[in-house]
Amino acid sequence: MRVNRPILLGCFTVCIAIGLCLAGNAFGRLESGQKAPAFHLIDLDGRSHALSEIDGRRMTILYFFDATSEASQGGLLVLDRLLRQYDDRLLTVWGVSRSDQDAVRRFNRNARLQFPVLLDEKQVSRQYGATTVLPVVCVLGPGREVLEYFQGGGATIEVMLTRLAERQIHRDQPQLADAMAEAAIQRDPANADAQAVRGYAALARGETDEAQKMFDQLAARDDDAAVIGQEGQAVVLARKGQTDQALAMAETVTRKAPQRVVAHKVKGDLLIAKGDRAAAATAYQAAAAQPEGAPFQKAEAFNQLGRLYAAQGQFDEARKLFDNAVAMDPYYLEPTSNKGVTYEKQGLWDKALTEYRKTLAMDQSDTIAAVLARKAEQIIALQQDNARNQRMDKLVGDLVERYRRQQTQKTDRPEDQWTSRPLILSFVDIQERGGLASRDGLSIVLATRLGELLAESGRVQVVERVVMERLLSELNLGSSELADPETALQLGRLLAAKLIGTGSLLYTPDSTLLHLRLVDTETSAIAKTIAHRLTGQTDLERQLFDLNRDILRMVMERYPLQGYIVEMENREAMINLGQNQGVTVGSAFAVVEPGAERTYRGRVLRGAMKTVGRLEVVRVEPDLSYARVVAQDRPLVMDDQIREIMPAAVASGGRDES
Amino acid sequence: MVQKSVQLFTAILLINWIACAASATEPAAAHRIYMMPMLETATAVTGWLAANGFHTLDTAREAQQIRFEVQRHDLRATIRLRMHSPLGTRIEVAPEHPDNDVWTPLWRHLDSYIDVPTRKCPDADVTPTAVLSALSATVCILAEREGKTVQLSGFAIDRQGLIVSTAHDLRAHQALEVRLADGRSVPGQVVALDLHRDLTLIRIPISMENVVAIHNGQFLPNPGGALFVLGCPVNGHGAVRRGALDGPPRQVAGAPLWQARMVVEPGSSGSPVLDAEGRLTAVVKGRFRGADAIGFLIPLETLVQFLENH
Repeated sequence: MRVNRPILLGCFTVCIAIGLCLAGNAFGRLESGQKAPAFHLIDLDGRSHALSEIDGRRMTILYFFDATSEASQGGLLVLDRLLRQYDDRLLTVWGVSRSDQDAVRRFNRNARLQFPVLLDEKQVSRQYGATTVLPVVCVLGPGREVLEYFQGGGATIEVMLTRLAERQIHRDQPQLADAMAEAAIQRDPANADAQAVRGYAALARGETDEAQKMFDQLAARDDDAAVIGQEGQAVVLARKGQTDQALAMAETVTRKAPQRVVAHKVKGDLLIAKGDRAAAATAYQAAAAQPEGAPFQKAEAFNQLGRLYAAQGQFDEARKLFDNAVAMDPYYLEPTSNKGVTYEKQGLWDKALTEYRKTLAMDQSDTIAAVLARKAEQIIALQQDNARNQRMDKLVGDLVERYRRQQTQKTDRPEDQWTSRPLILSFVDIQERGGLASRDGLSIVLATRLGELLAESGRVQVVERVVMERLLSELNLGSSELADPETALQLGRLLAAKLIGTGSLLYTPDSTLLHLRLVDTETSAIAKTIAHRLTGQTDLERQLFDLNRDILRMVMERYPLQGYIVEMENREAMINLGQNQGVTVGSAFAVVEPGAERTYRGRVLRGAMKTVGRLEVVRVEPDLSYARVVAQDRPLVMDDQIREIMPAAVASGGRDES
Repeated sequence: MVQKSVQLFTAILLINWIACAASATEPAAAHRIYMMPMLETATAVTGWLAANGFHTLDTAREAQQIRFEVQRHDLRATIRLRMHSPLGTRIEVAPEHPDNDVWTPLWRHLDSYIDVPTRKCPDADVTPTAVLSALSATVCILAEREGKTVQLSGFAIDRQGLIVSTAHDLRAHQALEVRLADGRSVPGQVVALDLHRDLTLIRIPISMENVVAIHNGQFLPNPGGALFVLGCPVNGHGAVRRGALDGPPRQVAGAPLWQARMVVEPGSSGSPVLDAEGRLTAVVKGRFRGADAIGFLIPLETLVQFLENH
């Protein structure tokens, strides 16, 4: 019987294909969101590695490869080169191979990979679906959750590099994003997604002109990629404040490619900045519903829509959207922190704290989450302290009563009007205007953190934030009422504050303008105006330090400490100011006396205060200090008046010889 | 007697020697004073320690001071921060290492920390706060005329919504839209138009939180002193341009004008011109044709006369 050879070959191929499919079904590809299977493997140096080691790491890449196939190793070598260039301690890469051990050793002898290569007997590769087609790249996020799964070399490696680059945008690694995208472009110069990532990475670095160049190049193409460039152009125009042009470009893109996320989101941002919340909601809803766009872009759309719902008090709906944003991009801190703020606004402090701690687990240096978490902890502690809670209720109740009767705090005129009284400051309200920032709670953070820093100086007493917030809530005073300067002043006087802080945060596409006014409640005069551009959240703490210094300098210049010499003994003066008034070792005081008076045509003409000596504090006690006499024009005596001198604004140094 | 004196002298010498020996065994301490609040200094110091391989073994917080016990390899040291004033901190490091290079990088780090401005936005670095404060009082005006939109700038002069701008683009407009710095748009209505002085007064139906005050304006700015132009501030993106007066005032068609060296972009007409103290000195009229870097300004005096007449 003659065997029909083509039929036999066909049957053989079908059998092989069925076999492969069955194998694939038994241990198929992993899906996004799935928890990665645990394993325990030995590396080339004999060290043991368990997957549980990556707990706490932000991103892990498992790269399954064939040590005998160059095509299978290409992506691994690119990753190795990039990680040598960009030291990223929070990114872990493990190579995994089930090839013959000698082959793996030979490969690594040449490659000298800086990350471990794990030797697999087969089982782990099968669990990860990495048996028939290699390489397989599995990207794991926090909680060992599968974020991305790629199978095969060639074009798949370019896709992998592009996706990894996109993931770096919210990991705050724009340089690595750029390098990964560039590596993808080197393999395929026409890769439009990778070119777009380079543009967004430039925007994340604050290099708007560089981003524009990249998007312009893309937009000039005559294929489908042009629309990716145009949506980037819309983002750049919005960032530059060219609202009308940005809106027109976004409209063009949404007409051409309505299935893409970015242009809808840009429209939403611009419309909300114009105050058209209804149209903005429609645009954000459209953005969140579209299928095409990088995960970081979709996550941003969900987050903005959530922010809009939260601003309208629809907290449950907002939280669902924040959850969607996190599912889309677990490296995006904003939605988790924003979810916490929604709980905070509902008074659910335990839940708020949980979200703030989750945010801090992702980035310990995040100032906003750190301040919000600290505040939540303090309020939870207050709620658990019945006695303190009752005192607080009584205090707020009394204040509400007095406010309604239009009474201010009773302050008896002190017998001694020269000696400084504690300078009390209260931040009343910082209103948020303009666009909708991706991060909620910045005004709370500013008031809380500045309050902490100022109080820390010992020079200013700051009204507890919780008292102010309870008072505003009890009096039902919202932003519109507090916009009236008289209302804010009345509140300040009620709290016996010498200074009140009010202001606004104006959100613009590339920065936030803080406009802060400190008003003297006794004279109604503006003691200090601060206009400060907050340039992103990465160095927010440093910017708050700057503001703190500005305010402290004003306090020291405008309200210098004043007191008396209580006692003189052997060129050492005891003064009636101490630690409680903000005196420190090294504080300097001028000893002053009234200038000469002359009477001219029945009117007494007073001369300027005259300095007759100088003191430097050497020891501080709670309510008094001891100071050495640095200079004197006449013997200093008890009851001499003293006034604080600003320290020199230069650093000095040396060695302590004593 | 002599013997007693010798004994006393010897005893004094011995006490002095013991005291000197004791002080010699005390580790020497290096100190510096930096004009930063203590908490900020602590953040800068701990940041440097962590980045330079030091482990903090212990941190103690006492009244007006913080003490860190730190170690790197064999080097163990105490860093003490003492509040020198609310704005100053004294840093002591003990022992001062025989190899001074150990702590020199810390002093350098703190020197550069103080020197480097953090406000990355270039205009915030060079533009005085008093000038930036006026940004939220400036507005962008869109005038529609025969189907075309002309854009110019303006600024609020009172909280009830009175806006000053130039008149030359508003001769025959059909509709006015005023955009505020916070992104809101409102309709505007011209309540006074003076083509001779090229000034106009527009009313908007909302109150303004911030205004550019006329009463403390500067009628004659310092020759050569910096002047700042706040441009149309859509979404707070008002470009702040810097310039200075360039030559004596001149009369153009019977109205006084100043010439200034400054970049005047299309749409800047009507922008307020402030001095470094944030005081209003002039209003931008326009630019010299053919040169973007020469601008013409309407002096404050002309604006005051215009307001007195209306």
